[in-house]
Amino acid sequence: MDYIPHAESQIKFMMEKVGVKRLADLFDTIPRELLLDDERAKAILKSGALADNGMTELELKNLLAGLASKNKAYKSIFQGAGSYWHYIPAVVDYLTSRGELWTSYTPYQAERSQGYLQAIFEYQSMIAAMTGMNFSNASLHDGATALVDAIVMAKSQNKDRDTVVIAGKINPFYKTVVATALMPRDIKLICVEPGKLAASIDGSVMAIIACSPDFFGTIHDVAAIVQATKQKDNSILVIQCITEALSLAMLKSPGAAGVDIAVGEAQSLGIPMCFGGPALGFLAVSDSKLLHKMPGRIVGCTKEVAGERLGFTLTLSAREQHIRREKALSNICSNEALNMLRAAIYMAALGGTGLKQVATINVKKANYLKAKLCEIKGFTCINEGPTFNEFVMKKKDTSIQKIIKSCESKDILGPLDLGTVNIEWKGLMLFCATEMNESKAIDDLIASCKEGIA
Amino acid sequence: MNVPDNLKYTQTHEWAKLANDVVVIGISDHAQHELTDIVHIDDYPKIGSVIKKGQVIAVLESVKAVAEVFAPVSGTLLEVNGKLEDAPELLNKAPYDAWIAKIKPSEKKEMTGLLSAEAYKKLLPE
Repeated sequence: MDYIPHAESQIKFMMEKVGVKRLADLFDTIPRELLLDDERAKAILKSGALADNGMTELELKNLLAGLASKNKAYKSIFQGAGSYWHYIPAVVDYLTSRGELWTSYTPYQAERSQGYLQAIFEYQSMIAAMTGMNFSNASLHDGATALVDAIVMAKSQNKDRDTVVIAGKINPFYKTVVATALMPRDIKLICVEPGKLAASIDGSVMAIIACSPDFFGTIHDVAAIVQATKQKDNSILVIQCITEALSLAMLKSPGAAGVDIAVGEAQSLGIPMCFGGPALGFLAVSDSKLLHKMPGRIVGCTKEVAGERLGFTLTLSAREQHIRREKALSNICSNEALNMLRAAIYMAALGGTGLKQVATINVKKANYLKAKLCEIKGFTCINEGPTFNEFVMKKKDTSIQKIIKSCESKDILGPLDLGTVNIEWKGLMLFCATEMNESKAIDDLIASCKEGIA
Repeated sequence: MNVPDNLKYTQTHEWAKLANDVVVIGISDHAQHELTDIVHIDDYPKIGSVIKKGQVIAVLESVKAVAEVFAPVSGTLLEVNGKLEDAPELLNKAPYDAWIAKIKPSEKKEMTGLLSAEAYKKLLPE
C-alpha cells in the first residue's frame, strides 16, 4: 500500500491558506546555519564529510572506530551524580537482544504482544515491590522528566496552589529540567534543608519533594518529612525523588515512609551509563485516586473470558493524551520500552536477595572509601547523616583539580568537582563507589588523592 | 432513549432538576450510552466554591473516552455524590438517580433557559 499523505493540489491549497509561497518557508524559524536545505546538503556531500556515494563496510567501521577511540574509557570510575557504574549481568544483554524483544516501542497490541505486555507487567510489579507502593506505570524517559510529571500530578490535586518545596539537595540537572518544563505553569520551587521544612510550609505549598538519597548522597528520614508535612497540611503531596534506584533495595521503602509519589531514575538497574542517557524513569503511587493522574502507559492483568489463563493489556488509557487530548496531564504516549525490559530482567535475575547484596556492597565500598579519605589531612566529610554510595568531601584549599588530574594519570575517573556544577559548592568533591570499584582501584584513588595534595 | 419529562436538559447532555432551591445535576441516558462503561469520576471543584454556568464540575472517564460535566447553572457547589467514587457504574445503570452534584443557584432564571424534555429529544439521533 502506498502512503501518500497529500496530493500536490492539496499542498498548494494549504500553502495558499496559510500564506506560504514555498514549502521551505515553513522552516523559516530555524536559523539558516542549522537548516539542511538542498544546497547545503549538496555542499556537505561534496566536501566528503559524509559517506555520500558509498563507503565500504570496512571503511565505515574504521571511521566509526576512529571516532569512538577519541572517547576516554577509564579503568575505574568514582563519579555518580545521577548516572552510576554498575555491573550488568550477561543475561540482560542476551535476552534484550532477542529479535522478539528488541524494540524501543511500547508494543500495545494485546492480541500479538502478550509476551512483551507481560514483561511490562512484571516490571511494574517489581518497581511496586522495590518502592513499597501499590501501582507503577510502564516507565518514563528518565528520572528528571518523571519528576516533572510527579509535580504536575501534585498540581492536579492542589490546583489553587503554586509552590513546591524541595527538601534535601536536589540533583542540579533535575532542577534544571524541572524549571524548564514548569516555566509556563508558574510553579515556584523553594529549596530547604529537611530540618527546616516545617517553617517553609504555608497555604501555597502543593508538594514536598524529599530527595533521598540526595545529590550529596545523604539518606534522609523520609518518614519524618512525611510526618512533618502531613501534620501541617494533609493535602500537600510528598514526592520522594530517588536518583539511585539501587538504594531502594536496602533503605526503608517510600511506601513504608508514607510518601504519595515515588519517582526517580532506574539506570542503575541493568542499563549502561551511555554518556548520560537514554536512562529509565520510574513512577509509582499507592492511592488509587492518584493512579488516575499517573502519566504514561499502564499494563493490567486480566483473565481470559473462557478459562483461567492470564492475559495482559494496556489499561486506564483514558488518562492519556490520545484520549484526553490537551487536557491530559502528561504528553508521554509511550514508555522507555527497551531500557524498561533491561531493568525488568536485571531485577528478576538478581532477585530481592541479590539486589540487597549489591546495595550492601555499594554501602560498604563507599563507607570504606569515606573512612580512608577522612584519614587524609585536610579532608572532611560534610554529610550530616548516613550515605548510600556517594558522599561529599571538603578540602581546605583548591587542589581538587590536581587530585582529579592525578587520578586521571592512573586511568581513574576521580571525584566530581562540585564547584564546576555550582559556584556555592566550591571546595567540595562528590565521590561515588560501587561494586565495580575493586579494592586495588580504591587504594589507587586514595594514593592519587594524597599525591594530588602533596 | 429515556428522557424524563420532569427534568431540564443542556446541549451538552446534562440534566438538571430544581427542588427546594437546589439544582441537582446529572448526565442523560443518551450521554451514558455514548460514553459506554464509566469507570471513574473526579476533578470536582471544592465544596462551597462559586460555579459559573458552563464551568467543568466533574470529569468522567469511561473505558474509551473522557468527558467533562458542565454546570447547567451558576451558583455555589453544595455537594457531590460521594457514592459515585466507588460505584461510577451507577451513572450507566440509573443515570437519572445517580446525581453528580448539587448547586445552590445564584440566578434561578437560568433554569428556565434550559431545554425541556421535548426540545432535548429533538437533539438526539433517531
